[in-house]
Amino acid sequence: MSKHKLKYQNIKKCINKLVIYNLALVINLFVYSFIFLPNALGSEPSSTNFKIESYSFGGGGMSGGSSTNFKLNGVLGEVESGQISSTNFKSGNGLSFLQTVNVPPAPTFTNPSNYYNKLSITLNNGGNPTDTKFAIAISPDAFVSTTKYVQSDDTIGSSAVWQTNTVWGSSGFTIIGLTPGTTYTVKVSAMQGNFTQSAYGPTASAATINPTLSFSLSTNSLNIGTLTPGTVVSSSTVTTTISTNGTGGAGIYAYDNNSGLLSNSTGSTITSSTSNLGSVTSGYGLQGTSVTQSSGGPMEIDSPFNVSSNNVGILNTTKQLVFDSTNAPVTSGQGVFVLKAEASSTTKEATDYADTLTIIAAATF
Amino acid sequence: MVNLSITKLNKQKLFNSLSVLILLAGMLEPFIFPVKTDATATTGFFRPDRMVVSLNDSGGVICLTPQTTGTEGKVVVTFPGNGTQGSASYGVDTTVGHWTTDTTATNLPQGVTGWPSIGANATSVSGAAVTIASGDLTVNTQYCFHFTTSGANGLQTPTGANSSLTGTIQTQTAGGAAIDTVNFATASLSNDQIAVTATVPSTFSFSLGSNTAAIGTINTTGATSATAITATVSTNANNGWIAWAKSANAALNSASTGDTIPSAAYVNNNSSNIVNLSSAAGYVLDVQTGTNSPTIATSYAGNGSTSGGNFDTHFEQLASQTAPASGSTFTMAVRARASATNKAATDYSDTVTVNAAGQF
Repeated sequence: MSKHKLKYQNIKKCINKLVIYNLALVINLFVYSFIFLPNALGSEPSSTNFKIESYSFGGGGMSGGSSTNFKLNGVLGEVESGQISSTNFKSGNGLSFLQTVNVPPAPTFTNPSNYYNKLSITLNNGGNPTDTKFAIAISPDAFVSTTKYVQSDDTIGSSAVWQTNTVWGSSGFTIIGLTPGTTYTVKVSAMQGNFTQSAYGPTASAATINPTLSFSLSTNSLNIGTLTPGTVVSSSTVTTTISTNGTGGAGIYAYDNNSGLLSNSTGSTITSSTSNLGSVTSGYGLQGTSVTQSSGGPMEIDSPFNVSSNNVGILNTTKQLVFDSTNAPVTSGQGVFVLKAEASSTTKEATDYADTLTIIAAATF
Repeated sequence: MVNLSITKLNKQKLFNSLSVLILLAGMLEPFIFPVKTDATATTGFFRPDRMVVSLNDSGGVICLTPQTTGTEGKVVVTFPGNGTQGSASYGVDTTVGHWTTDTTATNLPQGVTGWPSIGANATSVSGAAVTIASGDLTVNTQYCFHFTTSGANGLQTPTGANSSLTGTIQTQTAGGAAIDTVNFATASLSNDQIAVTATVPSTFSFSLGSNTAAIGTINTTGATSATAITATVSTNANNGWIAWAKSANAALNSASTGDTIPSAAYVNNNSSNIVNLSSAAGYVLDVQTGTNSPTIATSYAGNGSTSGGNFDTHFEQLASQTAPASGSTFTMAVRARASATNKAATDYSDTVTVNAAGQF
């Protein structure tokens, strides 16, 4: 290797080492600044035993406004302290008021989807720096007697929690754990490194609604008809309709009395089973045929009823989930089903084969 | 002149350096941009066993997925309304012993955990609120229990059909401090059942395998038999079927000679009707059972080779079953033996009529 080539490579090694050393230095400074010396940036002028809390200047100039470890922050011509106010306005005076953060405007506070235990909120930064932190006060009685605060996990608690708009969720977030049927009022205060906390800003209100569930059946009687041996017969359709704002969605269940079609006069039962009626000599069961919804969900057909052709799911005395809204609120969710049956050549003749199907619904809140 | 040889940039080393920088940046990112963690709300539901109005002694399932850490000691279920049955209010029985719980798997939704140490009965009832002892619960686990009610009223559903009837499920410490609360909604219907009906019509089929039984040349020393004819019966009659037969002549008659090979006198429903042609002349019918083992009448249950029952000119029972049958069979073999004095002829004949019916 030539002498020059070798020298170049050595130079390159040195440069690489310098880059790494500098990077480590930056990291150390950063960690030191934010973890070990949280007040390293933006602290009041202070020494070991003394700190300048507030100050003002006269009309004269000054010299030596800063040194290695101290700096002065002051204004000229301001009223020393106090507050001038009227019914609808107030003027904050003095250095602290002059340099306090902007009072945050009212947040956007809504119930966008018929929530019963949460509300949506979007903070307004109010022109404050991006590292400004905000606390959100919330009350079910417009702060007449109750003041709570939104916590870092979006629940409400007794102590104020300060977070930047980014941490809260600058695109908005939901406050959870609220009481149904209640109007909530919120207001926001801001605080930023060098300056004092602002007053709470104007309020905004929104209301939770109550949990909702509605359910209906399209019919209360179903005649399957004449069961000719060896022929699969379908009933007409039954439509179930459900709406709920339950966050976990709705479920529609079915169960019957006899686990089959029973003839009391002969004691004969066409037993229900999960099967392909086209492949067995006799049977009876339920088949989900379609699902729809106006919004939310979507509705779905649950196994073993999500079949087609001559296939059916078993009916018995155990409540079985037939339709659900996929763990989400749903409006006018519909599940449609039919009953199918087949008699064998030895199924006793009778006109009184019967069953009682019970359909119930529930929603997770 | 100094010659410099510039080597190519080592791409691998550059990649390694950049990788280290990216890794360090990723490690520091949570400290620079801390994110908040979102809590999950407590969920639960009430699934009634019935939703129909004006029902006494109803029951249901209570489920809860707790999210708050605590030591549960009781669960309080507050049903919609004020505890007195009304158009939009459940009636809540105040007798604690009328409330019974269980965690039987078939009574609970699939995949849930039975509520630990749920009290067998309620411990108190106040208004619409029923309190039941509870064991400690683990956050994020879905627990359920089923309950039934008894007594004159039990849990009464509202008298009116309604949507969005609201109640609460709340877990508490043993001292009564609230831990988790769920507000639920349910509904009541004028009718939550569907009456299903169907008809199975009567069916019956009967067939003979052949309509001729050629006995052939009859001798005077033993039985000569025609090929057995198979009868097949299918029916869904609740009480099964019966088959009968009668002979036109109760004998083989020769028109040309006027002679006859008679059956002996018929003995009803009795094995005495059986004649063994090995030792006597005569004309008989031997019936044997087949598929599904129909019962053969004793009057015609021959030995399958030389004997059989005497014919009658009236319908007499051959075979039967007492339940629906599909493809049941029996066989009929006509046998004859001439006497020494029977005139020679080629036209000895008879007509046997066989029928069957389902017993509906």
